[in-house]
Amino acid sequence: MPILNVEGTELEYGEADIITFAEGLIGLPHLRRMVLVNRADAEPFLWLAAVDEHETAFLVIDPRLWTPGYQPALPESLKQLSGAADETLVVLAIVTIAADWAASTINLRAPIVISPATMQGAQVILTESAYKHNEPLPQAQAA
Amino acid sequence: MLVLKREIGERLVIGNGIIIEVLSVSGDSVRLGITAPKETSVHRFEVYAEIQQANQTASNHSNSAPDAAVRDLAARLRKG
Repeated sequence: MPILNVEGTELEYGEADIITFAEGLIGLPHLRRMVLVNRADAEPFLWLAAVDEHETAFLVIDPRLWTPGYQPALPESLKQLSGAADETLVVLAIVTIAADWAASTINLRAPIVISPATMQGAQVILTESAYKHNEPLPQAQAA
Repeated sequence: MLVLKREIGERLVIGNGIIIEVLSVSGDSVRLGITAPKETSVHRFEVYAEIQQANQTASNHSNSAPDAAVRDLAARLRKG
């Protein structure tokens, strides 16, 4: 089994765990093969770790845990990620953690969308959306 | 870079399905109409650049993701 090093922890992963981002992440087109890593100490966060670039990872979360009313208008074209499967796509958002955790932000403007059926993923920029790439924690959480 | 001169109402085609039309010009600003296949995303460049920068900042390389901050924030979110 190949091994991935995520924030100092070594993890085994298999081919079936790899999510393919055909176009990479925005501005990082070479990050095409990623694995979602669940570490107990980081729950409810997950690490989205690059397979081909040693030790590159992003902290991601179900954006509704951060912003309960989050309703991204995802482009219709994303349905093609699922191929023939009829499924609900998984939506995650990238978090930029700050040394002072209360100053951390979440990117609600460019969510990560993943098809569990095909293990294909994409990062999309929402068109003409009011969501920002650096939304702060809601008051209730930051207090 | 290819530079072309177009007038209001004139169009350009890029590849096999992207059409850009000059709708109006007023002072320094130009209104463009863009028709593109569904799978082609079109964004203002500034928005794209912002996301690109945000991704780089969020990567654990530029952001040494202080473990304590991740744990504290995770604990806070678990409580809801």
